Parts: sequence; C-alpha cells; structure tokens
Amino acid sequence: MSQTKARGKGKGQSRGRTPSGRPAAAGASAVQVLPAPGGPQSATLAVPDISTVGSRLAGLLSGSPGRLRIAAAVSALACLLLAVVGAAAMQYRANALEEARSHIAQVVRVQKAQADLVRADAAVTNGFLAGGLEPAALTADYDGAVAEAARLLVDASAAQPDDAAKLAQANQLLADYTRQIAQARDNNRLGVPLGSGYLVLGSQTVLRDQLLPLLGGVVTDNGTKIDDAYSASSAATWWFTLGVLVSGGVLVGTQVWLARRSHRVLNVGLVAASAAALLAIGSGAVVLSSTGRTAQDVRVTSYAATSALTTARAAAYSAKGLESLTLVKQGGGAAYETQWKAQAKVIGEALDTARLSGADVGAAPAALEAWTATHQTIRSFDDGGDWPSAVKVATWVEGEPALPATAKGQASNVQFAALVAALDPVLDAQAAKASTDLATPWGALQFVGWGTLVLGILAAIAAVGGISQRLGEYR
Amino acid sequence: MTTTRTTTRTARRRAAVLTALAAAGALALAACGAPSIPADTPAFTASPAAAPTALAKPTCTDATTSYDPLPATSGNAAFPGGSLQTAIRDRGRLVVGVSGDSFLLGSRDPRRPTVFNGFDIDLARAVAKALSTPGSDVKVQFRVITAAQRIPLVNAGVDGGGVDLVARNMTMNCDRWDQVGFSAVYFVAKQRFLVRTDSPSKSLPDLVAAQARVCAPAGSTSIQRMVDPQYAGIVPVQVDQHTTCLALLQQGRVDAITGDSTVLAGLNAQDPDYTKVLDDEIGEEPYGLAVDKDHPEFAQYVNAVLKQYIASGQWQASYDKYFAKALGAEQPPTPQYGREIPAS
Repeated sequence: MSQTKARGKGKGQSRGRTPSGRPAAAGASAVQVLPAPGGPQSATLAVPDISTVGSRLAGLLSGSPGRLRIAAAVSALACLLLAVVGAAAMQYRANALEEARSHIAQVVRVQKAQADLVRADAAVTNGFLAGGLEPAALTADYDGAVAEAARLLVDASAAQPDDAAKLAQANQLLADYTRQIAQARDNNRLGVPLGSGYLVLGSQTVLRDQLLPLLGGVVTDNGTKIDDAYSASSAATWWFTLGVLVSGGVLVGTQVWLARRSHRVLNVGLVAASAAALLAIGSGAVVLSSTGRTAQDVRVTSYAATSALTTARAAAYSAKGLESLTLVKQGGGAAYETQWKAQAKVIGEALDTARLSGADVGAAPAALEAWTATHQTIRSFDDGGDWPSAVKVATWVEGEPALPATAKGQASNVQFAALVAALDPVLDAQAAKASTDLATPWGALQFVGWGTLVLGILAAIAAVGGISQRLGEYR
Repeated sequence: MTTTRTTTRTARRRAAVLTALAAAGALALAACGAPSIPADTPAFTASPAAAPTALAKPTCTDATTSYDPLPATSGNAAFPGGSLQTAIRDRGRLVVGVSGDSFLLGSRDPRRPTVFNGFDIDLARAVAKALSTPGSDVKVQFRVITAAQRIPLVNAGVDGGGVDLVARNMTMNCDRWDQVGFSAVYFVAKQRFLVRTDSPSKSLPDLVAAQARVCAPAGSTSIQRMVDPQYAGIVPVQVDQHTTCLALLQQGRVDAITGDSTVLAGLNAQDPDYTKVLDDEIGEEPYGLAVDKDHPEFAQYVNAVLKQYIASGQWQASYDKYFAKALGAEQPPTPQYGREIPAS
C-alpha cells in the first residue's frame, strides 16, 4: 500500500486519471474470491449442508436409475475429455510448429548475416588489391553488405530475445571489423604495407576467428530449439492418442453395458455421441499425421536446402575473400589458400546436400567448377612469381584493358558473379518455400482444434440425452 | 498494471544476469584460450597460438664464416665451366627470391607492382650488374617467396622451378649451413624494440618492469628470445606478421614490437612521427645471401661482389638511404672467409 502511494507521488497526471479507490481494489482482487453471480452450481455450493447433500446423492445413485446416472456422467466426462485433450493437442502442435518456424526463420536470418559479412569482406579485399584506386562498385558493395548485415543482426535480436546477448557482442565485433577495414583502406591509399596488417586484423582476426564463429553459435542454439520444438510437436500425437483411448474406451464400454442391461442394441444418443467422437478422432488423427508429415518434410527438404544453400553462398564469398587475401600477402598467404580449399570443399558438399534435399541447384556446380579453374590460374601465376598477372585475373572486370593471354579469358570476378547468380535464385525459392510450407499447417490445426472442442461438447450432450431417455423409462 | 511492471523488472533483471554471465564467459574464454592478442576491448580476443618456446643454443661457432671470394668479380672474367654463374650469364637472367612486404629490406612498390625496393634488393641488383658483360646484360628477376620457401627453392635452382639466390633477410646459423650455401655476412641485424613515442618505457628494463605486451610473429627467433628468465614479466603477443604488430601498436593493443632492427626500421618508416626504435640491442642476426648447397662456387663469386660492394661505398649508401634515420650510423660488417669447400 505504501509502495503504491510512493509510486503515485509526482505522477499527478496518471494519478488524476486513476480513480482514488482503484489501486486498493486492484490490490485486493488478487487475493479476494469474489462471490460468483447466482447460478445453479454456485447455489449448490453456497449451501454446504453435507448430510442433506450426502443423502440426496446416495438416493440419486442407488439402484438401476442410479447406475444409469453414473453412466451418463461418465460418458459425458469422457466426451468432454476428448474435446479438451483433442483441442489442446492441436493447439500444442500448432504452437510447437510456430516455435520451430520462428527458430528456422532465425537460422536463415543469422546465416544471411554471415553471408553478408563475408560478401562485404570479399568486396573490400578484392578492392584492396587495386591499391589506392579502389573500384567504386566494390566500395558500394562493401557498404551495402555491411549495412545489410547490421540490419539483420538487429532484426535477429528483436526476433529472438534469447539470442540478444550474443548478437550484441556480434554488433560490437562488427564495429571493430569496420574500424580495422577503414584503417586498412587508409593505409593502402598511402601505399604502405601496414594496410595489409590492418586488413588481416579485420578479415582474419575479427571476422573469421571471432565474429563468424559467434554467429555460428547463434545458429547452433536455434538448431537445438528447432529440435526441441519438433519433439514437442510429436508429443501432441501421444497426448491425443491417450485421450482417444480413454474416451473411446469409456463410450464403447458404456454402450455395451447399456445394451446388455436394456436388451436394446442401440441408444440413439450414445450412437450420436460416438459418431461425433469418431468424427473428432478421425479429423484429429488426419490433421495430426498430415501436419506432422509436412513438418518433417519441410525439415528434410526446403529447410535443409535453404540452410545448405545459405552455407554454400557464405562459403563462396568467404573463399573469394581468401583468394584476394592470399594475393595481398604477397607470397606469404599459404594459410589463406589452405582456408580457400576448405571453403571450396564446403561449397561442394553444401550443393550436394541441397540437391539431395530436393533443390534444383541448376548451373551452380558447373559455375563452381569454372571459378575453381580460374582460381587455379591465379594460384599458378602467383606461385610462379607472376604476381601482377595473378592480381589482374583476380580483379579484372568488364571494361578494363585486356587480360594477359595466358589467363585464357579467365577472370575471377566474372566467374564468381556467375556462381552467385546461379545460387541466389535457388536459395530464394527454397527459403520462400520453407516459410510457406511451415505456415500452412497452422490454419488446419486451429480449425480442427476448435472443431474437436465443439464435437466433444456435442457428443457429451448427446450421451447425456441418450441415457436420460433410458432413465425416463424408470419413471 | 502491477503485474506488467513486475514482469518488466524481472525480465530486465534476467537480462542483466545474462549479460553478466556472457561477460564472465567471455572473460573465462579469454583466460583459458591464451589469446595471442590481449582482450583489452571487451569483444577483442585473438586466435589462440601456442606459447613461444625458448631459443635453442647454437651448435657451432663458425656460422658467419663463408668460402673465400673468387678473385675476379666483373666484366669479361671467365668462370669455370659448369659453374652456376656461367649458367646465369648464359641465361641472361638472375632469379632472386625476395620478400614482397618487408618495407626497406624488400618490398613491392605499391604503385608499380613490378618494381621492388630495399636494402636486399640493392644488393641483388649489384650481383646481376656484376654478372653482366659489356655485350650482354644480365637482367634481375625478383620473385616473392616466403621464409619457409627459401631453402627448398634455392636448392631447386631455376631449372627446377626455384631461384638462383635468396636475398630475404636470412639469418646464417649452424643448422642452415647444413642445408644451403651462404655468402659472407652482408648485414648484422640486432634484435631491438619499437614503441610509441608516448611510451613511458624508454628502455628494455622499463618494458620488463612495466610487464609490457610485446608483439612479434609467431614462431620467430625474436619471440623465442623473449622466453628467458631475465625478461620475466613480458607478455609475448604472437601474430602472423610484423605489419599486424604495427596495427596493434597504433591501436594501443600492444606496448612494443620486437624484431630485427631492419624490420623495425621498416615499421618505423610507415609511422615515423609516432614510433621510435629503442637503443637496447639483444641478440645478433647475421644476414647472408643463400645459394644452392651444391654450388659453393656461386657463393664464392657473390662474396667477391660483396667485397667490391662494400669497398666501393655502395653498401654505405644503401644503408644510409634505408636505415640510418631509424637505426643510427653503422659500419659495414667485416666478412669472414676460410670455410672449407665441401667435396661435391
């Protein structure tokens, strides 16, 4: 109370709006059980005469009519159980799939941020090779990719607050990366080797050794949550099955019992109740199995393909950056060439995974092969001591003076653009498909969930009605 | 209303706990990962590198002794048949393995990528010039090689995809004499220290007392020499190359850089106003030009050229041009000859 008052002080406006009695009422409502508005149930409760109730209850439940009353109550409860368990199972499945979908979206988002970061790095390292006169297109590409990555990190943080701590750290590293790169470019303009020192700090120490693995951790975290959501989604089937067995068993049992007692095979009410229950069970089973199948399908097809293609794209940009870094290091770049080989392997494997997941990877493998061949040309120039020709092949773009004849028309930037152009449409299509596929089951689960609830209640009413009819015969 | 506020507060507290945990985690990570770059900014840690090992003791005493120089050095002097210098003269091209990014020693001109400059480059050019005869020039072709490539490429020879000569600040030592041939010493570099001009440490003892973070390439002789009880307290920071050390020094992430005086002069030249080389010298690195182990006669020839190079004042001119500003005055080294020519 005193706390409330203290809070109220100095907030004249909000206090003015609030009626003076309200804080007290709000505080009291948390603990006070209000007398419910008059109704048959609460009326019964309001008269707690145990002996009277007990004797009336004993009278109601004794003899054949009594047993029939018990049967009616049990059947009604069984139907209501089916209604509640069925609706809850659908809702649970829907929520679990929505959870999975949100984490899948997060994985795609964070992987896209990773790809944008290495895209920025590929642009800046390639531009670095040109010396002070960085091509404006590459600078624009770098700026755009960094801006996009920064936006995605903020989006990702808002989408999954659990990832916020790691993403905040990632943002800090991104700031450090752009700082190192800015100093690398400044020193490169001045023509001093120090520029390459800053470039290594940015591209290797900050980006590849810290920032990308940190984001990889966010992807792993969300992967675990996707697994959890899928397990939760399967649990819905078990709850539903349990509900069906219990309520179905009770309904069938009641009918058999009734048939034996009354020498009549069918009771219209109970048959109607059973039909409603069957309809609820059937539609529930259908929708649960179909949504379960859809979810599993998405996981091994469009989602798996999206993830693989994003990985391939990120690995490609990373490899492009490493190709340039190897040249920046002027013969000291063996470590980057080793990393290039590892990334090229990742691209190839990811393309295989995407294909096995049902994606049509189209021209991507051929484009990868062409770019790899160009990369080999660059390496053989550089390893043979012809660094200027290697740089030419690595940086040439349309409109520049002719390439050395020994390059056989190969230009890394051209072949690399072809690889990205082959990957991008496939990736976009698969990502869109994954998102749509996972959104579809939600509507069906909602519809059937509510339907089960209504059918269960109707079945309960029908069961009570049917047994009441039998009960009437005793009066 | 009360509920909302409580929830927000709980969430905020949870977020604070998470942040604290993340920070603690990052610190713990930084502590056990033994990062080579200190995590002085919260997010900045470096790739882990193994702790440097101490430097091994030399196993011989004549590491700086080379073969006797040949009497004739230039012009039309005839060489014995089958000698490497004859082959080079016939080819008209001397292939020299150099560094591409050691500023002042051997580096590519950033604006003209086929042009090299530096102290090592000047000397290699002098060798090519001596090989030239009035009728036909011997051109020099520079090839950027890594430190690890020096020995295999010089022994492979040009016909085997290698080089004739290595002029890439290569230290002469006992082990290497078993693998290559060396010219006489052409420069004695000392291990020294580069600091920012605003550094409170004016000497090596100051650096030790301040427990300074000292940067050098991983696995280098310079970083190995820091592993010694007399330098206890120094925090070695290992990176891939010296230019990275300079970037870290400029950002205040290390306190000093150690390395050969020649290399430090190159770093100082890239940031002349805000860095300086301390006077303390520890350890010597005698540089020699490396030749094929099976062609000691070429080393003898190079020795004759070097003798002439020093006597004519070219050595001094080159030193003054590149190093005098950062390292102070220096005399050319006195060559030591008399090594026995191995039986081939």
